[in-house]
Amino acid sequence: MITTDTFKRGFKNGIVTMIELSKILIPVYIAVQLLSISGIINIIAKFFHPAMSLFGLPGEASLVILLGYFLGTYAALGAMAAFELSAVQVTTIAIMISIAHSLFTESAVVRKLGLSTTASIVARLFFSVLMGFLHFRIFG
Amino acid sequence: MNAVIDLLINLLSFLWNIAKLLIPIMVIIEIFKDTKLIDKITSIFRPVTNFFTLSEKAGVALLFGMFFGLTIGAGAILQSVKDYDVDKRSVFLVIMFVSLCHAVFEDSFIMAAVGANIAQLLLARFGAAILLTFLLSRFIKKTDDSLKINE
Repeated sequence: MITTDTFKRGFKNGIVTMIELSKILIPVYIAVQLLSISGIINIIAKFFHPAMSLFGLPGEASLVILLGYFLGTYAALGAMAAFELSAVQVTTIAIMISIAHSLFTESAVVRKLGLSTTASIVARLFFSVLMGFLHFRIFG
Repeated sequence: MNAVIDLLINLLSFLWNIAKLLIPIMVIIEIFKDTKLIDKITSIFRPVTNFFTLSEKAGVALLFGMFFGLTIGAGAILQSVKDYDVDKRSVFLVIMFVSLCHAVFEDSFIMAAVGANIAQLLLARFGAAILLTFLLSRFIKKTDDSLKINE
């Protein structure tokens, strides 16, 4: 039976869970923003430049993928719009950042469940790279 | 000063985006529970939970994580651990699956909007998630320790 109590309980659970998640989301969000503002992300992007050829991507794509890994899908999409990319390249990048994105924020969520964040990050990066590579080999 | 204000505004909209999904979903979960729909979903998902050797109630967390995102999925998992004592092994396997494959509708439509091939994208994500979870489910032995999340 659905009663007003059903809605009250759902709403309360929503608020309680939100507070639980915020305790971690807020500090991580601020830290990642600072990393971005300080320009550290740009240095990393330069470093990974040569690796991009493995995925049939131009050097600039490293910035898109790193933005995806660190900041999230939306940040990556914003950067992607700035470069000339083929349909296959767009799909390769989409696969890579769909599998692995917002690693700090989302791993914090995994940590909240009392699980190893390392396992989650390693698995995501491994499959991000593997699937990106396979996609380029098959469709590129 | 403007940068600080921008950061706070972004932070609030980030939290708001989560809250406006999370709260309705928690209400939906309660409706599911009160109408016994959760048992139906659990039974529809039984082949999936069996395949990955998960405890039955983990199917609900898997479903929510897959469609609504990792944060929402984690919320649903936290709730299902409280409600049903889902074991730690199942929680781990669900999280690994959902890590690779979450918010599939939202993410995929956004990607398609910028020109990505949606079929190839979904194939890659589901393929990776199924492969990883299957392999892990065969390597990790079943034990009795249930996950306790106490704050």
